[in-house]
Amino acid sequence: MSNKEKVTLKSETQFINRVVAIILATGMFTTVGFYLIGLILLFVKGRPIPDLAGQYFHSFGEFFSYLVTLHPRAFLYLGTVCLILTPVSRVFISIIAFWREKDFKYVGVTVIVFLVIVISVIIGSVFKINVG
Amino acid sequence: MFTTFLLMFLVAIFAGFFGALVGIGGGIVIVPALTLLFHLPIHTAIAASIVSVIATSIAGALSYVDQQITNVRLGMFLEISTTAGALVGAFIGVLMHGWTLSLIFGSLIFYMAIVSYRTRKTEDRLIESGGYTSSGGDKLSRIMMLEGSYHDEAADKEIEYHATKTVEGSLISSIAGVGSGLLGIGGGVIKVAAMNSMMGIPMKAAVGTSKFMIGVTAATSAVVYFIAGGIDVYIVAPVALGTMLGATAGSMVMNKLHSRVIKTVFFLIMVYLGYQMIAKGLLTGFNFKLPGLL
Repeated sequence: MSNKEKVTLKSETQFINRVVAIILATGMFTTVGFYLIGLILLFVKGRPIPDLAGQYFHSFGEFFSYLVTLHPRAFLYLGTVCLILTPVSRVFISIIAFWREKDFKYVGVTVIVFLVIVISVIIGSVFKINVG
Repeated sequence: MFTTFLLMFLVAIFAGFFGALVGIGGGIVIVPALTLLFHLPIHTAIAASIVSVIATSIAGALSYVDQQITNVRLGMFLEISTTAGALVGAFIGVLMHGWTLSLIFGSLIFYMAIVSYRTRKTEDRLIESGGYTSSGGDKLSRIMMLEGSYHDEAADKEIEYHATKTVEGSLISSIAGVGSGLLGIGGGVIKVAAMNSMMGIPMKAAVGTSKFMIGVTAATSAVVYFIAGGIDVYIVAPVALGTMLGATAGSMVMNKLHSRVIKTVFFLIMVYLGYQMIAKGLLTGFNFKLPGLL
C-alpha cells in the first residue's frame, strides 16, 4: 500500500468512526432518556393497573393512550425500541457513509450484513425460531 | 419492588463491566443471575439478556470507537460470517440434537481457552517488541484493508497490526454466529478468540472490535423476541441501564491494563463457559450430572 493510499485510508477510517460514534451516542442517550423517564414514573406511580396482559401493544392507538396518560410501560417500550434499532441503523447508515467515501468494497460488505439481518428477522418472525 | 430493581441494576453493572473488559456481551452472567437470584423463567431471562447485550455493546463500542481501539472495517467484514452463521445455525438446530452441539461448543471453547492462556505472555512481548507491526497480513486481508492501529496505554505505544488467516478467522466467526443462534451464547467469546489467536489481531483491538460487533448479532435476535412478545420491559430497563453503566466503566479501564491481565480474565470466563456447555451436553444427552451446573 502506497503512502497516499494510507493517508486516504486513515481519513476514511476517521470519517467512518465519527459516523458510527454519532449513531451509537444518539441511540444510547435516547434509550437512557426514555428508560429514566419510564423508571421515574414507575417509582412515582407504582406499577399502574391496568397494564397490558402480554408484552407488546396491539395497535398504535393503544400505545398512544398509554403514552399520553404517562404510563411507564410506554416509555420503557420506547427505550427498548430505540435500543434494538441502534445497531441496525448503525449498519444501515454505514452503507451510506462508505458510499460517500466511494469505498464500494465496504458498501458491498455492509449491504450483505444488512440483508442477512433482514432475512434473519423475517425467517425468525415467520417460523418463530431464534436465528440471531 | 425498588430493592429488586436496584439489585438487578447492580448485577447488570457487574456483567457490563467484565463484558467490556474482555469483549463479550455478558449474557453468561446475566442469564444465570436472573434465573437463580430473581427466579425468572429462563425465556424471560434470555430475552432480557439479549436486549441488555445490545446495551453493553453500544456503550462499550461507543467508548472503544472513541479511543480508536475498534476496527470498524474488520468488524463489518466479520459480521458477514457471524450473521450468516446465525442464520445457518437456526436450520442446523432442527437437524442436530442440542446436547451434541453443547458438547462440540464446550470442547471448542476449552481448546480456545488453552490457546488464550498459553499466549498470554507472548502477547505483551509482541506488543513490546513490535511483533504485531511487522506481520504483513494475507492476500484477502490486504484486499479488504483489514489493518489498523491503536494506542496501547499500558505499554504507552502505538500498535499497528495486519490481519492474517482471514479465511480461517471468518470461518470461526461464522461458528460464533451458529452458536449464538442455537445455544443462546453470545458469540463474543469465540469472536475475540478467533481474532486474537487466529488472525493475529492484538487482544485489545480484538476486544474493542468484538464489543462493536456483538450489538448487531444481539439486535437480530432481539427483534425476533420483540415481535414474538417475549421481552418484559420492566425487567429489561434496569438491566440494560446497569450494563450500559458497567460497560462504560469497563471500557475506560481496559486500555490501561496489560494484555496478559485481560487474557487471564478471558481464560477464566472461557473455562467456566466451556465447563457449563459440556455439563449441559452430558446432562441432556446422557443424563449424567456434573457438579456446579446451572
